[in-house]
Amino acid sequence: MNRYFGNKLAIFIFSFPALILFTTFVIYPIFPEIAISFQKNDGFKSLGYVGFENYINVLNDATFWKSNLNTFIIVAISVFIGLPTSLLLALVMDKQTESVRRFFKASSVFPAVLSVTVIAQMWIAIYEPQWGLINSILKAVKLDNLAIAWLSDENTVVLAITVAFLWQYIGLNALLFYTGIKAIPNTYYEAAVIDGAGFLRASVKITIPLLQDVTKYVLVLSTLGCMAQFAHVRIMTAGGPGDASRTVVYQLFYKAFSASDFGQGCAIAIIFILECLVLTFLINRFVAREKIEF
Amino acid sequence: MIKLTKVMAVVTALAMATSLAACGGGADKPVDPAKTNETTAEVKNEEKVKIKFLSLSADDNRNAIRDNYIKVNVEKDMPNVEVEYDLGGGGQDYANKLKAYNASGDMPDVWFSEQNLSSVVIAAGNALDLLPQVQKSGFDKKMKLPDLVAPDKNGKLFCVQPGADQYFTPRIWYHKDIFAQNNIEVPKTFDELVKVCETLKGKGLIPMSIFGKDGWVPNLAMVQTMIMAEDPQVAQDLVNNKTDFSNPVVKNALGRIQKLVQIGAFDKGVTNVDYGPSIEAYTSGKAAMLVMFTWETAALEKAAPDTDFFPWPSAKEGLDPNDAIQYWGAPLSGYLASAKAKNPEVAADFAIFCATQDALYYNDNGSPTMLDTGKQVEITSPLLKKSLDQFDAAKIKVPSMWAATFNAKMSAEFATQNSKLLTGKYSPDEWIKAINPVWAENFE
Repeated sequence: MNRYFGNKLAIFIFSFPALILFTTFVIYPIFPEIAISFQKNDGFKSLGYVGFENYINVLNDATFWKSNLNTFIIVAISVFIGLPTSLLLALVMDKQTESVRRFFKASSVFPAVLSVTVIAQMWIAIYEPQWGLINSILKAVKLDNLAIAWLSDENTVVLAITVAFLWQYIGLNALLFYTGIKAIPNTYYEAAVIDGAGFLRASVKITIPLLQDVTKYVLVLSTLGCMAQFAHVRIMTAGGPGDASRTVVYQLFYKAFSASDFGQGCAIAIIFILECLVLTFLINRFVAREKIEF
Repeated sequence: MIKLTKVMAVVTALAMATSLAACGGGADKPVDPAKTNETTAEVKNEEKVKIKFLSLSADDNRNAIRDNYIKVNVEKDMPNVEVEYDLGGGGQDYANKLKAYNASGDMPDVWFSEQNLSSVVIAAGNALDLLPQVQKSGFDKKMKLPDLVAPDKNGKLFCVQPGADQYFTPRIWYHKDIFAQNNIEVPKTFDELVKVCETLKGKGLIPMSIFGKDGWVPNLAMVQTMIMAEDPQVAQDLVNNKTDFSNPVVKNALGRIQKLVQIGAFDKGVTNVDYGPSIEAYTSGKAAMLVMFTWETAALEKAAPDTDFFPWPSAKEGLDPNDAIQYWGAPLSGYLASAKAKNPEVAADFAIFCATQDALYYNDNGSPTMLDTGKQVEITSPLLKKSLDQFDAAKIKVPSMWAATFNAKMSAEFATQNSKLLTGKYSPDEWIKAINPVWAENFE
């Protein structure tokens, strides 16, 4: 009994600092945010309670829905293209020699540790319409008609930003998958080889199913990371042209800090929290429901 | 264990409840005007009055004004004052610091701020009315542009400034060599400008370089100048809230910008062109013209010696392009004092002193100011002299709508709409429909 309580106390003591920080800086701000979302508020002071007016205005704002669509496009590309690519890279990395693997690991982490500003500026240069890398290549192969202004065209701007964002984190996700692969006991693969399974079959039948805990972790991380997409948009296009590349968080920033409408900004924040909670619930509900133990 | 959890829950709940109560808007407390009258007696009794001065510190001009003028001359000109300097950084950092002071209601005694920040501090009742000291000191008599020391509709004046920005005006700069090589005459009408752009585009040049990211050039200059090209009075009426953006002159002006986009007058991807690259495109000779304010005169003269400028081409027969000019600056960009300053008269005098030192700095560097400091300003740049002569000769001078009139929400929406306009696929009607509801709230 003493041991039981002793452990609980230890758990409490060790988790207490993190719990305090989390409560203070993550949980607690939600409450004033809820209060402000029901006020007319210019960021300096409350101008009175307005009931659900901010929520109604936000939900009737076409730009809010456009920013949601942009956010979900980024999430969808990340989940359906980015994550499989990361997984593929991890599987390939696992089959390389130690020196190649070391190179892979270093280059995987490199973009993720670079400042977003550096990455964004690099991609602005790559997309530059006159002398940027992409258009220079297109012009060199006589595809001048495809050499468009990637970041100024409403049809391509979100895709262009997503590519820059994916490029930054695809390697890091690959590394997470790789650490998951290394945790799978070799005996499974040895048995598979005896049964005549090749790389593809072993990957599909053994590696991917046994990676479901890591997949779930990477999925949650990527989804929420994409949902919170702001910095790349801010630096690369400032949400433009017009409002074409705004994400939900950018729209929140725009309302609160550019238009000084903290009431609507907080209403967007509360809706955004709900969206994130729903997504996290869905992932938890449908991905990796059974615990795997080796 | 359970007790500990309960204690924690109670503490957290109390903290949340306290903060929520604070969030409910205690900032509505009115400023006690009586406090602003605690004055001279106190000053006389104390040897030195302490003044806390918040200034920008990420800007070379601001640093030089503070370190080489205010710090040096305050001991001589205001020996009764001891200044504590609060260096606030620049940009958003400075804005956040000022916002935090404003939210707490505990402002520094004197500070520098731009129009958009000044207006919120004033709205919160945290700024001191400087009019009595401005009149008492004769500061108002030294200002060449009376608008800058005119009281507001409530008879108050919250900001004093050197009047250094008012000479800044947007110009169309051009390469004389490129125009000469292509037998192009300086356009005097909008239709001629369109033809010039088409000719230059046909020669493989960018006709007109502009800083288009976030709609910058249309925001600060082009929408207003296009309105003034047809009827300057409409721009003046907008500034004075006597008309709105559904005025037909505004629609025509937007149509002219749309036309320039559609004929390819601007760089490819103009909605994402930044300040530096827009100037670089011009100085490197890739662009034949540049739309930019006169604050870049010296830099343009140095980087592209064949640079000249022409006034904005007229869009109405009989309208002389030299007659009307848009001036930069805003009535609330400058030095303000706290309504809660312990010695309001001294704080007001120090704000006036800072504005004067500011003007002296610009005068010593060859730039004229609306505030007459008594210094003879020697203008060595022929291009600047030409610009100033044209400025002085203009019959109608209209303040910048962006700098002098728009609140934060209007500025943000204006930028969004102008960025859309620069895509060439957004109609003036859509623009007007989106902007008018925000404009209706601008003066509330």
